[in-house]
Amino acid sequence: MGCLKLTYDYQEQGEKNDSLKWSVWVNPESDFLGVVDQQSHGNEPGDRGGNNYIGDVLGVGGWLSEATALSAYGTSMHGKPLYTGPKTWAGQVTRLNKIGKVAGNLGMGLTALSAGYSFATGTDNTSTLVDIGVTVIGAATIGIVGTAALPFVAAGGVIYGVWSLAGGSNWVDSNWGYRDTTKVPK
Amino acid sequence: MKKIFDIFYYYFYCLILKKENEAGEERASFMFSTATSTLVIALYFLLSIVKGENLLNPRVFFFLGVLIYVVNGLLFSRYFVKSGRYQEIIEEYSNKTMGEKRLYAIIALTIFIGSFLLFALAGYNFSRLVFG
Repeated sequence: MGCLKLTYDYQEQGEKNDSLKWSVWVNPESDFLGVVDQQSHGNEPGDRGGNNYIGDVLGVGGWLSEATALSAYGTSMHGKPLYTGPKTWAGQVTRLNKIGKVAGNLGMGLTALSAGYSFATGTDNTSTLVDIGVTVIGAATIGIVGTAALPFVAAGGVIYGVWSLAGGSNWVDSNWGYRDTTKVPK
Repeated sequence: MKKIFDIFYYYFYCLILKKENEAGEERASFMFSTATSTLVIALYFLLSIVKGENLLNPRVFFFLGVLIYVVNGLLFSRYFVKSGRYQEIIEEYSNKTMGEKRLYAIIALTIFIGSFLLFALAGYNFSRLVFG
């Protein structure tokens, strides 16, 4: 729920005749796109619109756009957000999504590139190929199934990481390794 | 070129599983960008094999690689998702049959796994060639 303070200037022949101010409580999740009508009860400053829920007040094509259209008839309307809690929260979620997207891509890139770095420095072995395989499976699962698979993939990643650090990679290399790990790369 | 790019995006779009009221356009973009970034890295290894030497300092390679993954991901997202291009692509191919969509999904999965397979094979061969 958010609160939008509105000012309605009624003009006739270019002169400002009247000005009305009121606050409207809006529910951004509602599909109902509010239009200024008799239900608004906006005659007194501070009067709230009661049940007049508005969909995306601040969005393009939302209520304020309707208000802009009204100005063609000699009226104008200004909206000033006083408190936009859900909007602010929605903004944070979008930002988090963006960060998550970048982090996901970065994580994918880093995992693949750590394998690439091993190839480039001659320190690769069978465990490097296993790392690539695990990365592909994880990325494909998240990509295909979506966020529903994220907890499972994350848990699997942690288990694999711990196993790998606990000597799993060395065990793979010592049993199935294609490179002599005792040799120092050039 | 643009058309081919769009078709490949649609292949990846067919691959992802969508819940009701879920578009999944971002995931398709993510998978497509990841596959192309991996292919670029694989191509670097292939080029290094042809030249028979390490073309870049490993640290520079690592830094550039990270940059490729991140920038590519953001550019794909901007081109397909943010611009709304994905909607045009989906509408354009909306008349495809279920069988065709399944085939596209298989092609996309092959590209995705194939890019990593090529990356691993090229990297392995490069490493064997340069370091023995």
